[in-house]
Amino acid sequence: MGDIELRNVSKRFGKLEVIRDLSLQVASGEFVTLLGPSGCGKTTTLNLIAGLEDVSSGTITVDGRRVEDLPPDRRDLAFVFQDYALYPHMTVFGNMAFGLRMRHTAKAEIDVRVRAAAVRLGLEDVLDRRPRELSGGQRQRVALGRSIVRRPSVFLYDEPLSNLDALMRDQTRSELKRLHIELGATSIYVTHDQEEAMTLSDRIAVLRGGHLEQYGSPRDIYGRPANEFVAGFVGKPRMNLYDVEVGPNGRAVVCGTVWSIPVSVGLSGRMRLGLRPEELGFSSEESSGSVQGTVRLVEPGGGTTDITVAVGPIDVMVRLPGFSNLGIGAQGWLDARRAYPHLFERDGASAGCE
Amino acid sequence: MSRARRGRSRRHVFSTIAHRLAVVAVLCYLVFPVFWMLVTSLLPASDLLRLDPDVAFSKMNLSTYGQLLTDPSFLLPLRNSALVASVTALSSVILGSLAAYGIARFRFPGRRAVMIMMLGGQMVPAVVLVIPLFLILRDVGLLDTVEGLMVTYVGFIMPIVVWMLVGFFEGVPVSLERAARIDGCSRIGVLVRVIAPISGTALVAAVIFAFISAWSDLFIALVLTAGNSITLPVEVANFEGLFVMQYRSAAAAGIITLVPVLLLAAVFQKWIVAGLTEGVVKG
Repeated sequence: MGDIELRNVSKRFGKLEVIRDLSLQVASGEFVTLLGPSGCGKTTTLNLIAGLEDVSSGTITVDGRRVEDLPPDRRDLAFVFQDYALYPHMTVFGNMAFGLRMRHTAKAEIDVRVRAAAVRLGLEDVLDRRPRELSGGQRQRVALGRSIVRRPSVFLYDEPLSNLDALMRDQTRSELKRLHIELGATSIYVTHDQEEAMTLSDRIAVLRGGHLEQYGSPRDIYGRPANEFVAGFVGKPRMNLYDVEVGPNGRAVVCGTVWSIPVSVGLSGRMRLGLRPEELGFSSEESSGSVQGTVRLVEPGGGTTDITVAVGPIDVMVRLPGFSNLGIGAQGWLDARRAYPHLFERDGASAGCE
Repeated sequence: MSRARRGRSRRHVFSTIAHRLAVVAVLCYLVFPVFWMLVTSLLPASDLLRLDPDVAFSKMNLSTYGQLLTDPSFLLPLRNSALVASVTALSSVILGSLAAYGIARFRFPGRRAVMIMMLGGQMVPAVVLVIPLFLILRDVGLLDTVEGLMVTYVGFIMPIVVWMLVGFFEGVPVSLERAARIDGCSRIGVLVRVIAPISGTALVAAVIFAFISAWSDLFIALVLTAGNSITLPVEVANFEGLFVMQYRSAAAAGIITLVPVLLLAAVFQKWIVAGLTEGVVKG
């Protein structure tokens, strides 16, 4: 239960096309994240699936049934909002029971389901309170509870963690994942936070400008980004991206430097090269293929330290394990032996090795 | 305590005293006429209309109120006023809230124009409109009727109600309505089950505003009514005759007119101020 398919879906607001010809399949029980920068159409996509907005063209099916003309309450889905959207005039119990009451569920059944959900979410002591008396984390759990009591086949989440503080966010994120494993319902989750997307998802759909850039497992998205946009958007710290000249010898030379990195043979010409900071090394000794650089910035993060190394005209971000004793101005050798080189076609705009 | 701090605290005391005195002055200015009206209504005119008014508590009595409240020619305007103000208040708020909700939620061509026209209408003085209104009501046969007065008042008051409520509805998060839609409400259901209950304070404030506006109008009622449909303010003005001025009755009638307004303000003050929407969303 809960197969979702979007086929050639477009959405226009007046002349503005927010979603362009989007096709996406979500298997039953899967957790899929729509990831992208603000304005990429991810929330609109969610609203289209929910029926809160009407599609301009294309079809949406849930379990093989066309739903794009059905009102939201007949699509068998729940929606968790960024701002929680709790009914302020109802108690926590009332908020969770409202959807069931609207569906004329028997009173005893409502009571059983709401109390069970409250126990699962640790809300049993606040059932008689109003939303304004709750903390942010509790409000978000009420919003979750309101969704799960209905036992829908699909959950839609619109940036549900973005209003919580950092500690609460991590905690709730783990709770969400556990809940998903327990309930096994299809979930579609919208976020601009690539870390949330990576930790929660079975598959990630990366969107830009209403267009699907890549759709795959977190491992695919991280390890085999389809293009430079995905490569730059996923991963923290951000992937290093440079203009390179790939020679027939299978080596890519970073423009403006003498740094050359071996890449797969068969490609040549001007391209873009991506190197993940966590796969680069920086040491005081020279090794084969390494290049000399100067430390320009040191950002300790506890378990890791991010350093920015200047190599000729370019800056290279390197993530080192543990605390680093390096100071600004330190000289050393940058090596890419452990790094997987990501090569991308150059788009027309980039400057190349002039 | 240092000298500088003492100086500051002395200045603070002075500014507090000045502030309190100003408040007392303004209160006297506002309250004294009401107080004097009350005294006038309780004492025989012969004791007051002298160079040295004799305000004796022992002479005060409620006889004028008794006379007024048993006099059919006073009860009629009282009944008219109550009817006109209630119907006007409810109609303005029922129609106005629907209009305001539509304007706040839907983006349609001419939305701004509608809002500006409603505000613009308020800028035309009643003096300019009252003669055309007189002619219109005469032509449709509503002159000197409570219905004619109600329609006129709704026309004047509803735009302000719409403005009051558009601001309120725009503050209600859209996600709340979306949540209700997903929970199984129709569009009307959203309005009835979610928007109306949380709009209680705003709607009550609007009803009271509309009621008081209609209740206390003299000018329009003076022109558009004559016999059967006169309202309280018109009746109060009528106590000023060509040759005699019935001070005591006029004052008592004035107090009777004032009481509902004061009661409404006192009872609902908390309601009007309380923000029920607190805690709707993050915060």
